[in-house]
Amino acid sequence: MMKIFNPDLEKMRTAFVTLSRLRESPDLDESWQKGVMSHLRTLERQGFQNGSEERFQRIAWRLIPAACLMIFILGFILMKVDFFPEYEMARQFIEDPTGYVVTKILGV
Amino acid sequence: MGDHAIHASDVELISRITGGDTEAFSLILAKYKDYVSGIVIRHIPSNDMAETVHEVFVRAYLSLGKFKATGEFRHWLASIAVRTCSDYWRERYRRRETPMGCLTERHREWVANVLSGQSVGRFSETAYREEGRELLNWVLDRLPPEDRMVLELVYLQEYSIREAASLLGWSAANVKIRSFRARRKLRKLLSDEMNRGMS
Repeated sequence: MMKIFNPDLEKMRTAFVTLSRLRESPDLDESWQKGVMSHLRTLERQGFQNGSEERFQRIAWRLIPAACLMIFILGFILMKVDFFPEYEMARQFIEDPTGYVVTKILGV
Repeated sequence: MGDHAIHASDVELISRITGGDTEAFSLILAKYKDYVSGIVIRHIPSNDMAETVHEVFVRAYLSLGKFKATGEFRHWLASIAVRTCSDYWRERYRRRETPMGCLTERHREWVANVLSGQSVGRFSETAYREEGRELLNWVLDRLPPEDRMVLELVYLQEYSIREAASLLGWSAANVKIRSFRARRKLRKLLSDEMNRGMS
């Protein structure tokens, strides 16, 4: 059974390094450069849309902590004032059945 | 002094581009296209090189606002090039475009030549170089993209762990571990394939 040991691997590495160094990059001509610049000009034209979307996302992410804080405060207030939706609905039904039915029909 | 002048003119160009003068980017392109293609060609097949270098410059253009004038533009561009190459291989790996063939007898002979020290002076032969490249590509294609990039940077291009970490945007410890594992995988791949040829 053949096994590649560390000195063998070092020989392989040296050979691969030589190969890697001998690789020549093909020339990128004028038309390639024009292609890149044309792509960039297209991006620039779209830039206003991209910029505004990015700005919106930045602001939205900044508002998230404030929104979480608001939810927490409102939840705390609702707990403090003993607000139970089922109880409130039952109370409204008993006190003003017509108003309750109209509210339900209108979907308010 | 010369380097400082080049660096200063880069910063000046970048401020022009970020100020809205897109055409000034053509000067960056002309100045750095050979440098970037020299990096890309060491990682990407020649037929995809032009497209990948194009992608590198587009990414650089879109990220120019993040470039800090305290750093070197050349190095910043090199890291974009290396990461674009890494993304290229990740995409190829995701689409499973890796060839599944085995090594031929010629490739095994190539390995045997190298191990017996008979390859000295033969790299001038085009066919010998081609066989070596096929073997190298065969090995690299069988590694995950991250291992491939680390192996190419640390093992073949002889970057230090710190330099490779900076180019890839990874921690030095991560590069060290990956490089060690990739080397082990490389040894196993070659051993297995040579044994398959003998059996």
